[in-house]
Amino acid sequence: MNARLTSADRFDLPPDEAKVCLFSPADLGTRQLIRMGPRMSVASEITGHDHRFVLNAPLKIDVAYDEEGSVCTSHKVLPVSGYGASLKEALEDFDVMFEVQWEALVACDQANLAPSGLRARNAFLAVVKEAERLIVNR
Amino acid sequence: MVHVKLSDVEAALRRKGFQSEKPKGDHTYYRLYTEAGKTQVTTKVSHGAKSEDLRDELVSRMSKQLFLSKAEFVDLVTCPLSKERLVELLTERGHL
Repeated sequence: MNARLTSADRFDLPPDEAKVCLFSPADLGTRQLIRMGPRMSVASEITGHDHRFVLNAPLKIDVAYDEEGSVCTSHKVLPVSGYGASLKEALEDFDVMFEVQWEALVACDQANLAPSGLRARNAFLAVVKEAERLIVNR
Repeated sequence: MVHVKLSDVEAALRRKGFQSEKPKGDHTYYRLYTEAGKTQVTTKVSHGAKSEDLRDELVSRMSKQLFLSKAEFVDLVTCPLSKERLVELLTERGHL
């Protein structure tokens, strides 16, 4: 069994504690301030279902929260986003989407790519130092 | 509240130029292909849900992944938004 890194490994804090409370809940008449989490995460490695990607430099991942409490992770340049009920889930989803895009846009014949696909391919190649195929017993 | 069925979404995506890729767990990823080839535009369809109806939250996520508003996504599924118009919209928005 391959020891699989999880997105939680990126944090110094356990996943639950990594949801830092930046604002203390305060009573504003009938309204409550919502709890805000971190706005950015940094990954030096991405681990999908079948690949581990070693990156040239730490990747800044934007984190956003919607009204229903869902967490969205995304990158400014790479066409990758992830969603989840928690930051941990959203980061894991980000990792899998990263892998999906890599397999479709980089590990393929570039002659089949539309201009947006080619631009994304070049962006991935600039970010990834090494893509290692994982052998996972499922 | 938007009511969209999973099977309708998948059928609409296929009609509008999307092709499914190798599944990852319970999820299938659909990618848009245009005359120019394979694009970066992709969305995840989850099959783990118990209900055939997509929750509002999932409609919202899929809309964002496709760079569409929720209303445009519903139009894509229910047909008013054609493949040609989709390609126009995504080109205008700088995603193709």
